Amino acid sequence: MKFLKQFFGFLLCAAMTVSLAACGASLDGTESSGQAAAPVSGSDVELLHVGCIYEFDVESPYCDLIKYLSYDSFLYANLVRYDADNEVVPCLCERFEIAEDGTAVTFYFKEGIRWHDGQPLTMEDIAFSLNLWLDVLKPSVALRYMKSVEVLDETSIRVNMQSSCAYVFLRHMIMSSSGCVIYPKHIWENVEDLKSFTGKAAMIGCGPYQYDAYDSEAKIAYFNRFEDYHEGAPTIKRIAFHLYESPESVVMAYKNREIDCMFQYAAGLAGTYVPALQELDYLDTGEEINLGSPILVFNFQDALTGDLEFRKAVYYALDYDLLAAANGGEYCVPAGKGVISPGNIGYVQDLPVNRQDTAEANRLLDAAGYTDKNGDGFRENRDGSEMKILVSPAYSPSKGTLYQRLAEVVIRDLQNVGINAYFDEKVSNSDAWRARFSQDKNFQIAITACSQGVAIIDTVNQSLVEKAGADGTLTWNGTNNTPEYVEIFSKIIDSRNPEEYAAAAAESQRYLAEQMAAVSLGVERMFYPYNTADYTDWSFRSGNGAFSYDTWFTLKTK
Amino acid sequence: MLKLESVSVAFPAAGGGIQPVDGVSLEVGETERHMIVGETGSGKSVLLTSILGLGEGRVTGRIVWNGRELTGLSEKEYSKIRGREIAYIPQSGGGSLNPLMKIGRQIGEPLEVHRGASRKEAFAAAVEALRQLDFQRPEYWARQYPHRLSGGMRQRVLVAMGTIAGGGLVLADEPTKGLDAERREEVARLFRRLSGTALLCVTHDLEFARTVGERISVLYAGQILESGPKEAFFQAPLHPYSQMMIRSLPEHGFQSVKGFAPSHQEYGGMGCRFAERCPKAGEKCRKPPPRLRMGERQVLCWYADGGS
Amino acid sequence: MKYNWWKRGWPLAVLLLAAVFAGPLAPWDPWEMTAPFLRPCWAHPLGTNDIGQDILSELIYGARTSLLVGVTASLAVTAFGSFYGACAAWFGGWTDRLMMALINVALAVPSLPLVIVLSAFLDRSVWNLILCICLTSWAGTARVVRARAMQLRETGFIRSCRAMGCGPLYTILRHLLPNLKELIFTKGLLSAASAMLTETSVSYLGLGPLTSKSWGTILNDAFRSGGLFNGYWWWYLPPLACISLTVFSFLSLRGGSEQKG
Repeated sequence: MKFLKQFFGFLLCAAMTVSLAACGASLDGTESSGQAAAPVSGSDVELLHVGCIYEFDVESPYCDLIKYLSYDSFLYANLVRYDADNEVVPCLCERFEIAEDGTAVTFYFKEGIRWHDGQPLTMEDIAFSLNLWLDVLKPSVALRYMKSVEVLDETSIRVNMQSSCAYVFLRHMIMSSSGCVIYPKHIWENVEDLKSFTGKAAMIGCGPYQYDAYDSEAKIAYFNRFEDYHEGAPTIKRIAFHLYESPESVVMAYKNREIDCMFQYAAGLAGTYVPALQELDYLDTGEEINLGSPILVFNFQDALTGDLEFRKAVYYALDYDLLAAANGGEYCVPAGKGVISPGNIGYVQDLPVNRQDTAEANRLLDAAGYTDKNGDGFRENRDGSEMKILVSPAYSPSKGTLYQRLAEVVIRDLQNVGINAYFDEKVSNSDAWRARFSQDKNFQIAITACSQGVAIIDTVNQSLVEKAGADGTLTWNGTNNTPEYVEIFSKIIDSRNPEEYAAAAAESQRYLAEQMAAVSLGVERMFYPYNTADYTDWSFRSGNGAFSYDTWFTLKTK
Repeated sequence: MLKLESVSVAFPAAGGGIQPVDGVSLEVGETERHMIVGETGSGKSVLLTSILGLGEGRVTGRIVWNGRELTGLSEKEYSKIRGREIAYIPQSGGGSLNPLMKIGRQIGEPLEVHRGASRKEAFAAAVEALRQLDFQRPEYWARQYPHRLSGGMRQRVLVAMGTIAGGGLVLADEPTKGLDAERREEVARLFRRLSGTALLCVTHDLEFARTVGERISVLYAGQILESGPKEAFFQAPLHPYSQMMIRSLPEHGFQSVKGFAPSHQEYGGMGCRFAERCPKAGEKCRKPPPRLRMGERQVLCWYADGGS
Repeated sequence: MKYNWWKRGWPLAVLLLAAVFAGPLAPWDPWEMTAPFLRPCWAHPLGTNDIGQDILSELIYGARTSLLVGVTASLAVTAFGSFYGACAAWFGGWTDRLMMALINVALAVPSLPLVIVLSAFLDRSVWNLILCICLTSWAGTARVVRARAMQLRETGFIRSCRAMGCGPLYTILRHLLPNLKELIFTKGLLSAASAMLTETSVSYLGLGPLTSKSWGTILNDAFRSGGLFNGYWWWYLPPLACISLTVFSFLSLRGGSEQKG
């Protein structure tokens, strides 16, 4: 009996060991799971696996995954979209015309555009959707730009602007985060509460892909191509979005060859994962520059940080190499003066790269009158009163303690030139941060980031300037309200065409460099790995990676 | 001066409950040494603990100490009396001493708590008490822990603890348990030397009662069968039980008392509770006997000597 | 007996030394920033972290936080919990029922999630963390002490205290609790180990004290900066080893605390 017990015990252990070993073996990445049998080379893609870190919590345009996909006109086609260089090109419309004075834009549509349920698209749908954005989804960023909507005839519609901001309106409407999609009026016109209307009917759009199903156990959302899409059917027949919890899970998925590429709005994988990814030879690491960046923001309305000389001194005090390394290891390098990252429209090349020069910092501080009057090792204000600078790191659940680490470096650098900088211990949650940075605006130096989306839409300036929108509320909620800067920013907003926009962006970059309104803490490279072993003809959107609108129409099997 | 008037202690339980102490009345004068003699189960300990509110039973009747009612006091009021005015020496079972405290400190503790003595003073007094109790090298023993003491030594320590603070009354529960003749004599001496303090001591040891006591009461099945001054009691005991007990003393030939006392549950239905064992029992004894008082003596019997 | 203590307690002694003499022991000031992401080398035996701080020095200073949290929380929890449990046992009746109800409520609340939630509302300092830990872990000690105290309450010398006229407070403090000291000491060690683990967990999740070094925050930095994926074992293994060793040393002290005399 005892022998039997021992024998069965041994069998059990052996079975467990074998199954564990089998788990381990699949981490080698030599097997490919979920791939169809090798298709004919150069043909349409049967099923593309895309990884992302989103939730599919409701079947509606308000679900995170769908919302971010809308920026590329995936399910709900948008009127316009960004091309590979983040320029505005027509999408749902056939062409658009911005009025001479920029106060209106007219959209012209092809005939025969259909919704996923077969109904025809009409101008009423467009008008309905734009008016929702204006009237219902308040407080709405649309109010900065739009005034009214006019249906001209069966295939054209005009939108009137508050000022000459038609062009930036187009740029912003693509990435509007308040959920403006083109709704089918015949489905949504009687819906009371937009956010609680869910289900298959709510997922009807007119984009190149239509919703099929969601596997809530495997956490995979399936979409099929829309054969009657007005620009022709995409070459990827079916797309499966694998939803993960964290970047680490995405990297594991790549290792297990579960996905072919990834989709994540404005956030590729950080450089820290590159060594793991480089081991996988079916992938190209998909290196892109982040068009946004981590930034250090000065509060223009504070007595100390409102002083240009002080800001310049702070600029020269910072150790940019360490800051860049702490941010992204070897995949982040010091940025240039003027905050804006390379790759943005209108980027100015000839500004110097950020460089530490503590001698210069000290010289500036001494010259400006911030000297150590009482010998305690720290400088005092001009009038002799104690000088302390609060450094507030942004609260970001996704980045964890990154901004706190950067703040520590900044504090150390400032203390090295005699500035008594100290850590803001109170911003330990999201409400506290919002109060500090956006509501009370009682920070002095803030360590935060300019997101890629903001950079693409209308540059980093929109988060630095304090300017009222057309309805009188302070919709641009920064701290810099100097007339010169507000005017430069208005030029960006009111630019009537890409050239004016580029010129205004360049002017703002020079202003930022000269006035040191903010400092970029590094130019990051982000990674959007994609499968080059099985597929070819990927198309890229700058700063967004391989999963772009153009890819859906160009991707082929190898 | 302690006076008990018709004190009964009841323990409610399923099926009626028991009353181990039934209508006990006695007095202890200001410096009197009053010994209560009784067998196991006679209710001695219950009686003693009820005086200071230490028991768990329900007490009826009156207990008066120096003119003050002791029945039904609050815990706080009791604690003002306990140890300070009335001291209690428990039986020395296992765990009667704190195993982690040196015995010198334990003996001196009542002085610290009630007389405001310092640790040193209390310790010195403890050493002196040990010397009086015939401990060789009391300074050494005062520094020992209880586990090093024999049962007899522990009993003496308890006596020392109870008497050291010198209140008005000492209640002692079987203070000679486990002690041999010599040690018993020391305890007796200590008791006799108590000046200004009354003593109410329960014991089964008649000899000890004789050497220490000034007044003897006999407790049997929860009742006082006889009570009186020592000389009178030992010369001419009135109750048959007392007579049988005295006959069991060595000088009278070790004649033991036959039979067993009734159990607590049986008390209720009985007349005279000693009747079963009594050589003089008769028909009348089926009814509860009367209490006869003759001067300083009293007896609970139908057929007591000197009565009809 | 002394020999026994040393044999069992030496890791703790080392930890204490490290905490007290962190300054001279650590090769670098752990807040000083040199070159980031360095591998182990002569200058930096355990390499540097993401902002160039020496990991070995961080580790040594981290001992302070861990010990501070562990010992302080343990002292507070044990003192309060023991007293609470002893009182509940002594007074009995409705008082005891009420106190026991409170213990049961405190035991039912999951401690780590509560600590996390509280960290979000209070300033993130070491003392607030100790407070949160105390709030959740006193009940275990209280329950155990109460059970034992109820037994002890019935022994002769405790009842003699009452007979001697000692008040409940005096009896509890002078006689009851000292006779439970072995139990209390053991619970104290367990509380210390548990408090240290809780602090490490909270710091690992990024919710720990903002300015002090702690083994949990080192782990958090390591994982956030891709230390796991890139195989920077010199960054995440030492804190794990330290935590394990410290907890182990606290627990192994239990056997060495046989009652003297």
